[in-house]
Amino acid sequence: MKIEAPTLAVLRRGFAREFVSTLIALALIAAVKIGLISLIPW
Amino acid sequence: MRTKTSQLDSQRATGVVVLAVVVGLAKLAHILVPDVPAVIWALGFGILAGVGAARSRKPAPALPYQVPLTAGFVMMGAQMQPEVFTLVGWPGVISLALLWLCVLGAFALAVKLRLLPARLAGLFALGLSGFGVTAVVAVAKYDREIAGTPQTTATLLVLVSGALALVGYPLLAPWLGLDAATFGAFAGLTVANNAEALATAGTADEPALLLAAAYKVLANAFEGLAVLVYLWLFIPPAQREQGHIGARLLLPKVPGFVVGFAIVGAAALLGAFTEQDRAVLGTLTQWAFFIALVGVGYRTNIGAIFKAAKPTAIGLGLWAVTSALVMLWLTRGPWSGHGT
Repeated sequence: MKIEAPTLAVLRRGFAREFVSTLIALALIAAVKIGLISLIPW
Repeated sequence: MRTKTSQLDSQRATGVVVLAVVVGLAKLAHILVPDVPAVIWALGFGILAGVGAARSRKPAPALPYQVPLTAGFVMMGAQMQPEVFTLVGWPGVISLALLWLCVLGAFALAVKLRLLPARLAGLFALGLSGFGVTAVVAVAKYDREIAGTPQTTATLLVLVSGALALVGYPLLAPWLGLDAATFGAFAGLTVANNAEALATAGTADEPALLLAAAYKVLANAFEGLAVLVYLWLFIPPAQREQGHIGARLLLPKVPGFVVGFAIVGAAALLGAFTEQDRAVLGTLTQWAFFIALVGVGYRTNIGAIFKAAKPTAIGLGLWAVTSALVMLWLTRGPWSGHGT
């Protein structure tokens, strides 16, 4: 079986990643609010 | 040390490039054949890439899909509307409690019948109660006896049950005549990992995805508490007092995305977003989930489903039974039809 159990280090990295991802999301939301995103032609 | 770091950096860069290429291909396919839902393209290309990577002799890069997944979750908060409360509401909380009762009952019975050792059953129940792999990792940190094989088995069970739901639920939905809201609730409740739950819900129309996300946020808010309950049940008091479990643990940890979703959701309910904002954020969320789903497909080990060892097979059987009970509750229970 190739699946390995995640270790504590993985979990800790996961929390850090979650924090960064939340910041990215908030930055995107802020960009939408100030109208930056609407400059991108979808 | 430096070489190790740079090696890690190059592996990460490879993961980003591979993810970008596969996302590009999947998006192209979706543009060319728009009749097939985007989620199917994302998962399909992801699975193909995963199979290809597993066959190559070089070590497969890990795709960084958790970042878009979490960002998507937080942005989804902007879609929060009072209706979600009526769709989830108290019946939703009761459904979640019922899921926990079913899972605990099923695995307690399995222990009584000596089908599974107690600790492994506890670990399975924790994983399948909607908390997924992260809860399994969290308890393994304190319970040395489950580090290693039991942890791997529980991880495998969670991942395989998610993969089965991903393939099976969309086929079940038309057969059972489920509406999108019930399907979303079902996926959000019974698919343990966040990624697989959203991927499954994404195969149905709105509001399936929104409901699945709401249920996942609700369940995850209790993750810290569930970890504590497991530790109280399985770690002897003497060991607890030896300081293996610090005071830190007394404050159950709530995952970051739950906090993010709650903040953005509260802002949305207070009227922070106009209809136009919501539409733009909706497009961004779809993109985030599209990228994440390619990563989920890539990680889905189709082969593992057929190779499940005995405890995993028993766990899968019990998961299927509890999911069926939840399905009965959702479709035949006092609140079936979801507030309509």
